[in-house]
Amino acid sequence: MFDNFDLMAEALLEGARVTVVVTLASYAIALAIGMVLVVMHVSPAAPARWAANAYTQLFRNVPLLAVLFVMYFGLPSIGIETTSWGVGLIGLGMYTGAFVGETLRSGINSIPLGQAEAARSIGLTFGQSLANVILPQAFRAVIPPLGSLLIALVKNSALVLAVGVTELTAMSRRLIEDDQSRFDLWGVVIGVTVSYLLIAFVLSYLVRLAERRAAFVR
Amino acid sequence: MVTIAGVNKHFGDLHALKDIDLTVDDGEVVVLIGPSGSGKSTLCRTINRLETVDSGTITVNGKPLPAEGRALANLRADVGMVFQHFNLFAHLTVLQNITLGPIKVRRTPKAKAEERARQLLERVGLSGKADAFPSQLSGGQQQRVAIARGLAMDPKLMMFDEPTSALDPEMINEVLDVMQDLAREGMTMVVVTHEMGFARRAANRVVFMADGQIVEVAPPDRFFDDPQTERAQDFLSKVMTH
Repeated sequence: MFDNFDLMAEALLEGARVTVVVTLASYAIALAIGMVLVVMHVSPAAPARWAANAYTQLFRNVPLLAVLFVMYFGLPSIGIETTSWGVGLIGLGMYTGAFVGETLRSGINSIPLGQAEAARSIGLTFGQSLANVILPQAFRAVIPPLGSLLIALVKNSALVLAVGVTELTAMSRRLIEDDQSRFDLWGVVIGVTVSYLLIAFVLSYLVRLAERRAAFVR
Repeated sequence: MVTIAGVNKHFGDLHALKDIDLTVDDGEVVVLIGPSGSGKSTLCRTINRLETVDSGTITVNGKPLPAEGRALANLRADVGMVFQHFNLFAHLTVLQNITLGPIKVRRTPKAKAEERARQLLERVGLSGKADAFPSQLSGGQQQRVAIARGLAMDPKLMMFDEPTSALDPEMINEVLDVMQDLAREGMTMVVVTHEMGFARRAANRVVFMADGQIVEVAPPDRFFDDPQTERAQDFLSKVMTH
């Protein structure tokens, strides 16, 4: 079943490495976008709220594959050069960012109003209240759902194969379709499944650690 | 210190504040009492604009209340506020709760802010609790930390919005004692409370509110011993029977 095991393991390891890099890099982009979105969502300026809402609706309601295709094939047609990696990371990041923004927003809604009033009453500005009082608490409150988004992202990252990034799933297809038929189908399927599970387990564990570290009692 | 003139406020159909006029002088302790829903907390919260008003003017230290932005933040920094539910920052230690304002708003160096915070903790009788989190403290302790947090900004005015209403009975006095010390030291204070004993001992003036109006203003002895209005007589007969 595991014909040419060393060769297969080496290939899957390389695919897994790309999957992890794509996941973490696009998650970093998503966190940054989500943070900006949530600040816009609670901003006193109505246009900022509208813009955040429009972004969220757009990226939450369009299939990820469509987002990637539109960026990969659409942007060059209006004169913007793209690369597989660029579209993969930014597309995944922008898509996931909409969900991160909503998650953080629910975190903010879970913080008692009195926290914001106390922050204002000692003279903190809107931005200072957010940065020092509201967001740190909101963030901690939503570490579990942010962790779920990270795990979902591991699996969503497989879609970047459609724009030419050779991550874990793309690699497994390459092994299955090997022109010298050196690899058994089931061997590859089991190998790729175990790889995804391991990545997800390790990330879940890290999220659990972060959750425990950030815990505080209200 | 505070001048409130012709202030009106509605919550939907409810006329919460009706033509309120009130001044608070430097060093004065004004205690607002009255039945629930009489508008006394709302009035207190308009002074640092946690509630906006529909009409009328409020000036603090001779300056009209700024509508928003940095000017409003600066004003709030000078007006300490103690809430019914303490509202200590749940993710910060006691010391961090007290130093956040001085460090972020006053730009006080961290070491200096912490030194001052420890002095304030000693003053409210909580020197050992600097590194505790709010959830590890009793209600009375949390409220004393909240007072220290307000004092750390060196406010010109301290406001207390029902500071003992959420406390177990045996913890009320530890908070009132701190407040009474403050009053004795000459802090300008606006206090919304149901503690009639505190009002009698610490107030310069008692303001009695009902149905969004100021019904009676008098020094505490006269108010409690010889209330002039029927509404106040009725209220006192209900709260002073025990």
